[in-house]
Amino acid sequence: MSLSVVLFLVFAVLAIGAAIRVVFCHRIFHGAMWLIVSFFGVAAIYMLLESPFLAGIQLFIYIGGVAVLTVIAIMVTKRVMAPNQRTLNDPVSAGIVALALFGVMVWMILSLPLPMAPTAPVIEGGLELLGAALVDPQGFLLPFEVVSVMMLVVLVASLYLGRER
Amino acid sequence: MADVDVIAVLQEAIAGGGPLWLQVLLRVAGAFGMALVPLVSVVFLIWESRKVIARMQDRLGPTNAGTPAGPWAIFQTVADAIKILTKELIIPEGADKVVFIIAPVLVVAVAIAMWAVIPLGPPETGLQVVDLEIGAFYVVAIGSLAPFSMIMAGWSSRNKYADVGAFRAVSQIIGYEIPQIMSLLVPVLLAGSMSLQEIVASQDVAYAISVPLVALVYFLAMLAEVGKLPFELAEADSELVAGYFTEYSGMMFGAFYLGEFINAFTGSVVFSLLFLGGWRGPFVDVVPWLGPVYLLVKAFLVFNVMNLFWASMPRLRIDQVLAFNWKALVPMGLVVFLVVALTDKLMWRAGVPEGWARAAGLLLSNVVVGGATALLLVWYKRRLMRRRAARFAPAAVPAKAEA
Repeated sequence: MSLSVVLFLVFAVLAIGAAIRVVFCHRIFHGAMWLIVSFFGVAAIYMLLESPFLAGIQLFIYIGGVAVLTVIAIMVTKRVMAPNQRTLNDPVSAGIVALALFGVMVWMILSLPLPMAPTAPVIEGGLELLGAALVDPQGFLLPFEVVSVMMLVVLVASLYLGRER
Repeated sequence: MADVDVIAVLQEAIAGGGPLWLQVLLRVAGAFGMALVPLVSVVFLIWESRKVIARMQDRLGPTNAGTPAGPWAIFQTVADAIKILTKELIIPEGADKVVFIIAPVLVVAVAIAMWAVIPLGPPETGLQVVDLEIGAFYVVAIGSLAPFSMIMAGWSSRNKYADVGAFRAVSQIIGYEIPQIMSLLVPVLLAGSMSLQEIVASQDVAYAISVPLVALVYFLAMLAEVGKLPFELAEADSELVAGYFTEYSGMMFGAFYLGEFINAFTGSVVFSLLFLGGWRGPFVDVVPWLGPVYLLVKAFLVFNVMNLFWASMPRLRIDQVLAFNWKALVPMGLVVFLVVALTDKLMWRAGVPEGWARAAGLLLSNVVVGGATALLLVWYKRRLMRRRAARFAPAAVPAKAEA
């Protein structure tokens, strides 16, 4: 086994193990922390795939943004320090939804052809190509602008909701 | 066994050949060595800032009276560290033990992890662990982990002061990340790369000279990120005991203290890399080992500007800090970023040669934006004063014509 395979296994186990811990945690705050460990494992796998930019995005958006937001939401929740609080109100329907989603995901993954070798070589300076493609009218300029307009709408809407009345 | 030429094997491994375990070992050793740089320099910097701030406040600061702390007490920090290690670690009842213990570890880990991409010298000295093509972004991404350690500390302490401190810290850091990234984009834009090594290499004219307004925005945002006065509300000792690390004692408190100083120093180093030309200086092309010296001198100067703020500024209120960010720094950062991008593009179209000519054009655009901001602020202040006068002294103001 080469070093990269060993590292991949370590980080994959970390990501999946942490994700399982998220589900089985009794304290929701600990769940949020395991979620971060899981995100971190995914970032490390991006790094192994020689894509530091995606790894950075993973750290920045998921840990710096999503996880911090989650934790703040948890912090303002009542009685969150209680040792054995219920994390689910309706386990049966939650279980059904989760199982259905899991089934769809498994079906999709199994129906996709998974390449066992890299389909394309790693491009030197791929980051610059990505940047150029995002502002190229032939490339992804339109989706990029649509997303940014949507972000602006979200920003203005949140300001409207959050303003003092 | 005895015939192995150790030096030749090492040279081969450094060049990227040889056995795998040796390469891994070298990488680990290099990372370890780099991690020692902030840790060791902080021992000196803590003493230095205590001494400097004491002098500014007409005190002596640490002295060696009756203690073996060396001349001018330069080993004061070492003595403090030894003392703090012997103290008991108290975990408050009802605290979340695991989270409580991980938080200080994470603070120091995040502070040191930034040093992975910092180029201490020119490429030929090899004083950089890894030159990531996303270097500048890596610094921001790792920095975004910092609020999390604060939340962990604040939440797990089960203390109201710690909670309030954590909330303040997080709202401040998340807010100030925006102008920080906005202004960080300008050096990236002008250098055409996110690699810190290339940003340094592109600074024939230091960016602090060509885009001073951007440097100012970055400096203020960085000051808030590292939580130095006037932005140290997260631990405002007169209101919150010690903020999010109120409940920590012994070396766990020491870790927060250490992390704070490492962050301040790292911030200075990153500022020097982005805006002051990093390791560049006279004769570096002849003697590459002068590079680290220049960088550390620049970073030291920036660090002392922070000390100056620390010793002379009052603490702002949390609403003032946040209002300053959202109402002043963010709009200014946005505008100056757009203006710089446009100016640079237009000059590139017009064929203005790189170097001093471009720098002058960028400087002009910065002066225009800065002047406009100053005029706006003056106008805003006048309007505010007029309104206040109208509100508090209705008799003094003649009634307006009926509309």
